[in-house]
Amino acid sequence: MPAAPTLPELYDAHAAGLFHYFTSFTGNEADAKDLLQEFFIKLARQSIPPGIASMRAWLLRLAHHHAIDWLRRHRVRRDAEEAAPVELFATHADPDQAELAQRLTRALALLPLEQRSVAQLKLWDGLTFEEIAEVQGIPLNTAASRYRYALEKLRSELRPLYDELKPS
Amino acid sequence: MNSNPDPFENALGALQRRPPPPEWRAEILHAAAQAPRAPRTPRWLVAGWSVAWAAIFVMYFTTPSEPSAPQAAGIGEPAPPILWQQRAAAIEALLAAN
Repeated sequence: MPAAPTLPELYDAHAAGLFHYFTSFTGNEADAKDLLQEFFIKLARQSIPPGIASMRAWLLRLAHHHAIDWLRRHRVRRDAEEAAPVELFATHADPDQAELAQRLTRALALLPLEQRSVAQLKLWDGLTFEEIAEVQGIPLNTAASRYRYALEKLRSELRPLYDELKPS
Repeated sequence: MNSNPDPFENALGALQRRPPPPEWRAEILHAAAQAPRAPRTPRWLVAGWSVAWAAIFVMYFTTPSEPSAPQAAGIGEPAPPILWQQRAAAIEALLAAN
């Protein structure tokens, strides 16, 4: 049986995904950082059960519960949705990509939390709908429909720019 | 359910997300390292309890059950000869003492 990964290994492999997942809940970087730190403290206190099929999905499931607890404690869901969007994407040298990233950040901020978090998990964490349903504790069809709605909204927000940028 | 992504999804997915600031790593891992672990039951205590319970089970299943009260009292059944002998000896000893 392979040894359980150490905290630094988990951080290096998963902190970025967890940070962005938390950001989709908090809407600001400072709270997302606090959540990330609390999450790793919690992780340090417990042992990782053997036989985890997908470490990423397991961590995201814990992160989801952690973020929901945070929302309950802080009751800032509306504030989070109305806050100025956090810069989500890396700086792109290509101005077209930079423009797309900027618009996408704004478009994501307009989505309801449920759709935004599912879109994050699908598009950038590469989770399947089955995994998303397990992470969030929702039915498979709900995960798929939330993603579909999110994508439709993003498409309508970004279509003019995307049509301009896409290779003909 | 998991249909293949269309070009629009691919274009979005190709955008690199910003990693958390590098200085967070040391800070967060330091805070996590300082966190006290949840106290675990010591192994010697777990082993001690296991041995004690095993001994209890062994004794329970190997000890013959005591005779039930009516049998012990001999109600309704003739007493075994050895009991008669004991009773007779006890009476004789009592008479001899007086």
